[in-house]
Amino acid sequence: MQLGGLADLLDRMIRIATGILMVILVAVMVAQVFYRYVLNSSLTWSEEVAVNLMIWVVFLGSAILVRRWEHVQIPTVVQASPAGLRTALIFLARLASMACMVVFLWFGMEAFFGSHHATSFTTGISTRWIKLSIPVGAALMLVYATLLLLEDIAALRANDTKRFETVTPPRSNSIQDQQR
Amino acid sequence: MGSLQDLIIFLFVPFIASLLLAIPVVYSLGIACAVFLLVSGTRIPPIIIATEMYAAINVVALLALPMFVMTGELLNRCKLTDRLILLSRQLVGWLRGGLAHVNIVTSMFFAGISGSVLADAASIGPLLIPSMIKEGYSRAFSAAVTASSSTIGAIIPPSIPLIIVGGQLQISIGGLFLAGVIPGIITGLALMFVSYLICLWKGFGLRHPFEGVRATTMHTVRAAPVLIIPIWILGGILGGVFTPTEAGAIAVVYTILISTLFYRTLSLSDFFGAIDSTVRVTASALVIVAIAIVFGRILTFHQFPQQLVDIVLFFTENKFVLFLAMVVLFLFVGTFMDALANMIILGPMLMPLALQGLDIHPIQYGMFLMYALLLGIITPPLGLVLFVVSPIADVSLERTSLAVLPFLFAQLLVLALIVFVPEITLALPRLAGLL
Repeated sequence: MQLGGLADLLDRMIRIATGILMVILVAVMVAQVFYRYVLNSSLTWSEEVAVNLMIWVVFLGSAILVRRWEHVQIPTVVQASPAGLRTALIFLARLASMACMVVFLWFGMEAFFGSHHATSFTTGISTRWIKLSIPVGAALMLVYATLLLLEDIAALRANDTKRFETVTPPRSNSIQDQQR
Repeated sequence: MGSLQDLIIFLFVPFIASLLLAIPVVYSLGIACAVFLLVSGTRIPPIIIATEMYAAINVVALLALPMFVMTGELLNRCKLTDRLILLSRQLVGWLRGGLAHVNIVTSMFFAGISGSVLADAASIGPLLIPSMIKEGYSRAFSAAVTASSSTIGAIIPPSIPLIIVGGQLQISIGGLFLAGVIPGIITGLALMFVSYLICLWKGFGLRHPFEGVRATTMHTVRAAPVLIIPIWILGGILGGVFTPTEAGAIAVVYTILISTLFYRTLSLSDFFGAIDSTVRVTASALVIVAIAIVFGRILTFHQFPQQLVDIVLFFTENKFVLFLAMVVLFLFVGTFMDALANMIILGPMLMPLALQGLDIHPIQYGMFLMYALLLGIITPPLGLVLFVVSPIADVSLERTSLAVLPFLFAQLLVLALIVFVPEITLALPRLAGLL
């Protein structure tokens, strides 16, 4: 499955990117503590930079979670439904979530292209580059959700009912994907 | 009341329907907000979906969350739970129902380091439940002790849910951390008391002979580098030396140092694994915070919290009735939904009602809210932690549900203490000048 390979490449790239952002975030906070308590001079930009990094981590990281449908959910009702209905409900949940991602993407773009941005005094960075994390994150969520949906359809065609026993696709699948 | 009807039809109904359809919480909230903003004809511009999401997590206090998540992830990976169990066994293993107490005390130690309930249940459960069963405790009892003691994780600081509550309700996070110390200890003691009674009644449990001062000292020294973490975090915040966020940053560095130099159990792949999990946990929690704030803004714009106060106080002004009503609500929604999302949505919504109706301090309200919602996750039959511990003990959910009831009852009493005896939560923050 070439699509799966491409998805894994994207997956790895985002994970490396968020990992690096996270390490920088911690390093910046440690530098702040070091400057204040050891060198006795406070950094003015550290907290702001750390928060900006965190915002990017949150929206990129949320996209990673879509790949295996790991966002917090309440599967009780769907899990208790009979098999056929359950499959339909799982598809409905995926599609409704994708509609929400489109909303995030749309208004995220509108905010990015809008005029209500401030430029930070301490770093000189416009908040627009931080708000950009929302449409970028939403777009990546849509990519992952589409891939998941394609896998769902493939499983449905192959009559692989196992995939639809739980709302979250079984993990074994994903490990196979990674090995490919 | 036109706007109240609109809120129900275009916001609450889509939200609850989406949740029941197993649409992830973040998208359920997003769908509800989008439906309301685009369909109901409200005067709020729909672009707040993006701008408020950004503003919601553009908050310095929230930086403490990734820091403490990473500290917990790193410590979990250097197999520290084993050491805490060995030490607890020395301290309380000689009591009747030894392992039950060990389970509870380990949770208290663990709570001072990690800040997560599920991590607690999932890491202590597999280590202690099998040995408890081997020593003759019933499976259901072993599962129930593990489930109920895991809630202490979020009460004793540092606590990830408390960081969110503080950020959300604009309460000092340092103050909330300090407020959690005494309720956390009381909860631990209450749970130990209940297990003692049950063990006495059912004749459970070997006593492990006290192995002498030398062995205890040895285990204390081995666990000491980890045990002092909560002490200096609290000391630092109490003394106004550093903020919770800075404490978190120091904790990360400190953990890396002790796990590589002292314990030598942290490998490079563990380190990368910890970063990966930190990204996932942070994203999954804060993206819900972000969109839940949009939901909250809609509610406050249409003055829902104040309307709620008027409606409820019209029916009763009796504090005890109000308390019971709120507890029932929290337990009910707490069993259905993630505690975090509940705190963000219900927290600000019910705050005016609690402050006016129960006449309590915001810090007290923060503790009450979090504690009650946490009890939701051990409340039968749907509590999330019950689903985690029952398979570990290989017992049916029904039996665990029954066995957890005495513990739940004890914790409800502690909850009442938090609401009706202010000093339990407020004494330490007052001492630190954080009130």
